[in-house]
Amino acid sequence: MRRYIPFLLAVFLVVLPGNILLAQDNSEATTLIREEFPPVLVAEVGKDCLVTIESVGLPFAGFSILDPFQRTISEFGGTGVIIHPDGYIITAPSNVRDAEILNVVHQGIEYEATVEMIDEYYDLALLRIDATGLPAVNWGNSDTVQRGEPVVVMGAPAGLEETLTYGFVSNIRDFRIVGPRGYDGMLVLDGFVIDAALHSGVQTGPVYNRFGECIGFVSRKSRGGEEDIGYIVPSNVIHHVTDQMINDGAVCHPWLGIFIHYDYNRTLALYMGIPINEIDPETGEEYDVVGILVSGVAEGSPAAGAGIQRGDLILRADGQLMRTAKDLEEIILRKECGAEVDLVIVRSQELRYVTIEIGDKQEDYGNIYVFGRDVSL
Amino acid sequence: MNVFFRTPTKLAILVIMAVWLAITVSSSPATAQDDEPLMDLQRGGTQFFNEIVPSIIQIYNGGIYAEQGGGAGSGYVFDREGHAITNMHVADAAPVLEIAFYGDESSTREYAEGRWRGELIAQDPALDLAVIKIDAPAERFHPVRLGDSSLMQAGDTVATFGSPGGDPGWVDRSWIAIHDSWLEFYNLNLGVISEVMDFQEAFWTYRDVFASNYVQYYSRVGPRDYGSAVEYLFHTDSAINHGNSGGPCLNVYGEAVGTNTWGFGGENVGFSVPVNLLKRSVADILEYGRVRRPWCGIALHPSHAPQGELDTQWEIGAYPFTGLIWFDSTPDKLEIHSVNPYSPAYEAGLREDDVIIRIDGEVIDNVFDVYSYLLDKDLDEEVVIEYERDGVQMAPAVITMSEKLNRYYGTNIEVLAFGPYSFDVTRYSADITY
Repeated sequence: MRRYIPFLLAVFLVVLPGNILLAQDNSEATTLIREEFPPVLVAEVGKDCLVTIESVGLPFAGFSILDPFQRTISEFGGTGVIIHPDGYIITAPSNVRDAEILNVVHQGIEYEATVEMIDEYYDLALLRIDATGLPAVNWGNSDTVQRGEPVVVMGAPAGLEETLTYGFVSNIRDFRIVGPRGYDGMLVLDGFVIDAALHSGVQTGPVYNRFGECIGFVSRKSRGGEEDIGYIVPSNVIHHVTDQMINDGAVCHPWLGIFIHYDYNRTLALYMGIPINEIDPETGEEYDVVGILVSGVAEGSPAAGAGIQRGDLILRADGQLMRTAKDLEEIILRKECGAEVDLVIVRSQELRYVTIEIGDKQEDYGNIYVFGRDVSL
Repeated sequence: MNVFFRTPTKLAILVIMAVWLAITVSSSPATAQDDEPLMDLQRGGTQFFNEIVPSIIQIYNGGIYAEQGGGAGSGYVFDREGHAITNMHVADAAPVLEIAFYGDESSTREYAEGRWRGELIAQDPALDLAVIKIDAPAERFHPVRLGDSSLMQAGDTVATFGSPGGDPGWVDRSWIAIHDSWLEFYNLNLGVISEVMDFQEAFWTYRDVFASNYVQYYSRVGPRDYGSAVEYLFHTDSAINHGNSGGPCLNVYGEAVGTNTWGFGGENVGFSVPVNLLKRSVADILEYGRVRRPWCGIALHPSHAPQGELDTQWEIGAYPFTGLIWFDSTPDKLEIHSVNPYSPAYEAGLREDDVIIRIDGEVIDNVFDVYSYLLDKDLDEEVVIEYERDGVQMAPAVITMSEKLNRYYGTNIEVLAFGPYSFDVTRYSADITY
């Protein structure tokens, strides 16, 4: 037993400094680099960039006999955010559409505003007022947001300035912005879902984390009637879009121009005469029913130029096997306009290889027949 | 004992080492964190999310084309063998249960490949509880601790976890099918307990929930006896939507204190069944494969129930779901409406229209207190009921609480459907919960 003494002493010596190091690590980890605020102070920090949009339209502007009570202009005021000290403001397009007189109220001062640009696919309007040195929003990095973080939502719903609601990031997921047709806005990758109350009119209101940094902007509530589910577009996305708006005067919406309606399944495969449980000629692995079925191609779109036809089955994009249309949309969205995507398609039971240059999404799809509410990629 | 330990100096060294080790180990951060809250309403719960989310499961109880929110629910794993708690209305009547854990490829997609199979072990309609077993490798099971729900008070911070039926923006069913799910996967909502409802309030809430939920759901199988055993209920302002059903309601330490059952459909009115009520049933299910709730077999007239809510037509339609018999005339005394002829109460001599005076020597004047008292009894425990018949006091009835013979409880369905205690339609008014 004597021979164990050195061993035990060694253990003793190792344990002692090890614990000291561990304790030091732990104390360092708890010190925070950034200053944390309670919600009250977040509101103090975050309210300066808020503006209220007041627009007046012509009598009966936007009147429709089909929906006579619809509100096309904001009668009580909507939320706007100063994103640049030189007077650039973003707001929801519904606040400025059909407006004859457009005023922006910031800290009690009324400015006359002009609409620089309206982007339907991002559901965003860029306004400009004649002022400089304005307090712009404190942009945060939305990539670091985690589930469970507290958030403060600010806005001017129905003209109630500096309204604040408090909640938490419930989820991080992809969702779709309401587009011009109600269903074909841009897909937001890794957007946020929060459980704070969202009043109507708070759209594009800034969402702050507990450091007072803006991590996103309000997009919309759940349309399924669920409570406490609100969708937030990350600030990095909006920053990217508004930079393009201010610098280039145009925003890229990566697009191929194909429409997808049906879930491609075994029945359809048999109907089309495409063998199921096929061996992939590229890798030699067996695949089941995969692929995306093209149900339409927009006229003048990049896909039409590349010769994609209705009825083609897209098997791979950039080497990745396509299971759902969202797989393809994710690949396209992570690229810029002008980049290329390689597709492997099946037509008449033959493999074809196509390279398409990604283009900008058109306002008008052209004269094609679309099943119901297909979303174009 | 060997030579080493007999030497006093070396023994002293060993003791010092042991003490040093004990001090360092006990003061190490890993053990000290257990008592600290994982979240609060100021800092949020990012750590909380990461620690709890492996325990949360998504349950698909039908095909991918189930109606919005109706085809999926939530649940939570509570032991290392892969048992999980969920709601009965999630797991019941499902042709197949498909389970997805957080991080599974299948958990954020609509197609069913790669999901784990779940097996329904047993359910407890009185608590809207189902226990399922997941057929997955043991390393996937990260059980959530079951807390003590009796410690929770109004104003305490809680979190609800689950996959509510959200709206990802796909508007068309075919579009949902090719794109993504209608669910919000692993949503974390933080809030507080707004109210701890007592038996009477909980019973009425619960009764309405189940009457409305189950009238359409179970109309094809005929009348059933669902007594509520929910003695108290948490009302929370943390959002509970469709699809949150079966998920846990957790306290700040990450312990489950309730199972989310129902949302009011208003703004932030959700209900969760306290976990202390579930523990007994869960233990029964794991040991016996069914719930062994003590039962004596009497139904009482509701003497102190809120009369304003009563509607004769509606009550007649609803009573099979509550297990109680409601009449227009409600006497102020504890009058027995009916006695199950196969029950211990019948054997002990109790009959219809008898009036209860005392139970175990105590005067109890509220129906809900009687039920609460009887629910707390153990099996084979004796209850002495003093009663009078036609104004004449009778000899006290000594009732031995026995297991409820209900063909709808878990695995004894088949046995009882054809046995001597099978459901008698002509007498089902006497098939009573309590």
